Amino acid sequence: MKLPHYKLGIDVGGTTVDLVVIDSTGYLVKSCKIPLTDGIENCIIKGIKQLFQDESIQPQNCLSIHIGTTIALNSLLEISSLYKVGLLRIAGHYPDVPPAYEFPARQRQAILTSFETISGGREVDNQAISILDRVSIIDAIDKLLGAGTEAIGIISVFSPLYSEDEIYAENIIRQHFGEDIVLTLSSQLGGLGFIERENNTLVNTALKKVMKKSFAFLAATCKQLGFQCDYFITQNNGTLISLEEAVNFPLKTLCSGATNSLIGASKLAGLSHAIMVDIGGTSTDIGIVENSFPRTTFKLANIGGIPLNFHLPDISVLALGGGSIINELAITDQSLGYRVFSESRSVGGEHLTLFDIGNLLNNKVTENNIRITSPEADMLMKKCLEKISHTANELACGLKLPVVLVGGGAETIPDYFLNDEIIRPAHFGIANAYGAALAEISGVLDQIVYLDKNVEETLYELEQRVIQKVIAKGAAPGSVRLIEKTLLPLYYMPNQMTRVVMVAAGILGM
Amino acid sequence: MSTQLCLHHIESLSLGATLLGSGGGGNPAIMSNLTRYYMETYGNIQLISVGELETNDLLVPIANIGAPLVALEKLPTFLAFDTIYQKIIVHYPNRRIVLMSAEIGGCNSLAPLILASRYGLPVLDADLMGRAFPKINLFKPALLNQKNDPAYLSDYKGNLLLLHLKQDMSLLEKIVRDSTVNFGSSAVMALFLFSGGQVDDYVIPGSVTSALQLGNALLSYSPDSHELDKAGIHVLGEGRINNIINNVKNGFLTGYVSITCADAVFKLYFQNEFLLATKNNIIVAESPEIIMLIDDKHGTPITTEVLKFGLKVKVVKLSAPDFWQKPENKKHVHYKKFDLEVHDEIAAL
Repeated sequence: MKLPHYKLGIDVGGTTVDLVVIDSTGYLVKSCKIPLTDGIENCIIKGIKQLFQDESIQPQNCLSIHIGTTIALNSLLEISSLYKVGLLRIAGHYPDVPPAYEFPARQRQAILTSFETISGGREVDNQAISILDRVSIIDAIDKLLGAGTEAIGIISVFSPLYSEDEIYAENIIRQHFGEDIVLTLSSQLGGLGFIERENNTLVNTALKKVMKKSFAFLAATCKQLGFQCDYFITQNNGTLISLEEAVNFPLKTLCSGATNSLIGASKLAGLSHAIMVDIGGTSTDIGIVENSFPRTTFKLANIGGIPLNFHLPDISVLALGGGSIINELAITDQSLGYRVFSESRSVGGEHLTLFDIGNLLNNKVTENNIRITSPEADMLMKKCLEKISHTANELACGLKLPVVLVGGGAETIPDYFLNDEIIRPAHFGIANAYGAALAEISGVLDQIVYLDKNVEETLYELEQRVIQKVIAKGAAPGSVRLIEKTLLPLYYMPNQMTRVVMVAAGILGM
Repeated sequence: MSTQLCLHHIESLSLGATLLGSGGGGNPAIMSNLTRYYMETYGNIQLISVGELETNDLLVPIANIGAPLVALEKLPTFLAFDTIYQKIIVHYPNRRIVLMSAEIGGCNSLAPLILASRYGLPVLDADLMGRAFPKINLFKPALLNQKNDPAYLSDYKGNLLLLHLKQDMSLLEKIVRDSTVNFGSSAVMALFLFSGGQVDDYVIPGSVTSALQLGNALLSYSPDSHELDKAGIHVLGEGRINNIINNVKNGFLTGYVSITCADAVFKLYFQNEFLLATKNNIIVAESPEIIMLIDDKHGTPITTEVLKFGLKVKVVKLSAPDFWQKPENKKHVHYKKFDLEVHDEIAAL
């Protein structure tokens, strides 16, 4: 019997769902695009049926399904389909500043119903700040539910190191208020820094609503179609988490869109260091991939005005795309967007766009069709590439890196502009889905250790632990390696107490 | 002339103070939400200059002490500050209290503002250091052998330790450190209290205004602008962080960071603070000069705790406050007085 060896990558975008099937060598076997006209799950199913309709590939030979989605991001930006969250603070020193203090008023009102602070929480050395008791938990939750709370966030001091107080509170709440109450423990989202972790907890809890709704039936439907594989969602750093984890921790998927596109472009071009240019209909995203992972910004993420504790890919956005309108031989910031296919001169419309210029230079239309000469078109295309390379150079800051063009709009660039430095890889229109199909699985370790003696051994032991964690999630052992290692000493602490953060990643095993 | 410190000053004060921290001093973000919250409720703060002090004023320098990472998790509270204040008004009845930051570099720049806003107390436009250094014996009054009795140490539960120590800074340092650990590694301190008449022996004047001006320059930052130079921020070069070596040594973050430019390699050596900068192994800045990296894209100052591989940065320096430029003071903070690991052959300019 042949072992399962295909991976299915799916990108749920704003206008289409893209699907690709790759084999164990990363070779792209099949792909398709489904317009997002129906519910997300329906479109995914439609695409899967299309890819697997003939006998050449069988659902049971599919090892895993990887989905990249911006559902959570859109829901947060649009402030729609969010749970109303009540927050339980277990913090015996009673912080003065209320939760969601830095949120814009609209987001705060939509997300936070009310909060309660109760005694408990830990010091950095695991001593109790004060005692957490059952009665105060129940009283607090009663008050939160009375204020219209639909889901609960729980945070206690130093829970990323000592999660017992949060777990105790969860148990009491489930016993007393029912097993199916929706809640998030801040320790499950990790990261020291009370305010950012609290913000993460609030946002994550609120987003559970839309994720539950969007992926309620996917696994069951796929099973009916003959799939016996695991389901994964790509997370912010471009690696995979299980579908179940993504439904419980939508925050982890919040910014995976840009990451997928960067990783997909890099993999399509076979380059681990490059400048990625994703040309869409209205805008172009430019970012940098180093060591196969996107370069991230120095500042922490701020989404819809809400400060969160992770780094986003460092991306520059240009108002330039296939639909960009050309006026008096200059490229404007206006775009026709999707109307390019109905209103541009190539299809008999009124507006001259970059799409038309590309068509002329690619000999798909004539000078008469679009009422512009070839030398003029060539000059405009050069201007367009100059704009892109100017921004790319700014991002690269002196590094000499090849430029990889992907996205639907990349088609407008004529072949004679391409060379060793400007590459347009095959399948450039489905980079995101390809990136998802090739995504690796990762694990994080974040803990405080004593580094006063046996430093090397302690760090080696932690490295092995995070690597084993990734193997346990299904990575092929030989492919797992450390991709991040940070040491942060705690000043004024005895025995050189140090916070160690390590991230390892590997390829999902065969 | 007195001015008002308003809510909108907090951002520029924080940015400027981070720059003056020379890479250390803790992130003012630890304090900024609490400060804003109190100022929203209780209003603006009067900032007075050294010249406006009366002889009989009681000056109270305030500092947060402990591990910045702990304060990010166990948030500072009003109670810790208030515990000290309530004791001081009992010890010093009928005195006008003027608060001040003990250390302008880093998060301590905001330390006096919560009490000042809550009780309508003035804040002095000065501090005891003019930048950030990691030890109590490097406060100006410590170098000038000024009295430090009593000193107050409180925690976020309202515990208070009152210290009556002789002039022994290393004992004070030890007791404060040990007590801070027992207080959960995050505490508030009032130290080197003095009278208006003694101001010359205690303070570096004008440091709040200076932080505000530096912060404003960073707020209006753009990568190609020449505004930095006008504000006294001298750009030594720009490039990319291509190596970060750090170790934990005796409770300090020690190591160096290399920045590769078109024509040179910078190395910045640190022990919490950046203390020495070389360009192709020739010294281009050294303590007490203030050495810093700023994010080339946004102008955000980068402390030694958040160095990021691959980031494009500008290497900048600021002159040391006048006090530190005097040879008798300078010698105490020469980079060789710190525990830097400099293995390269380096030369003076």
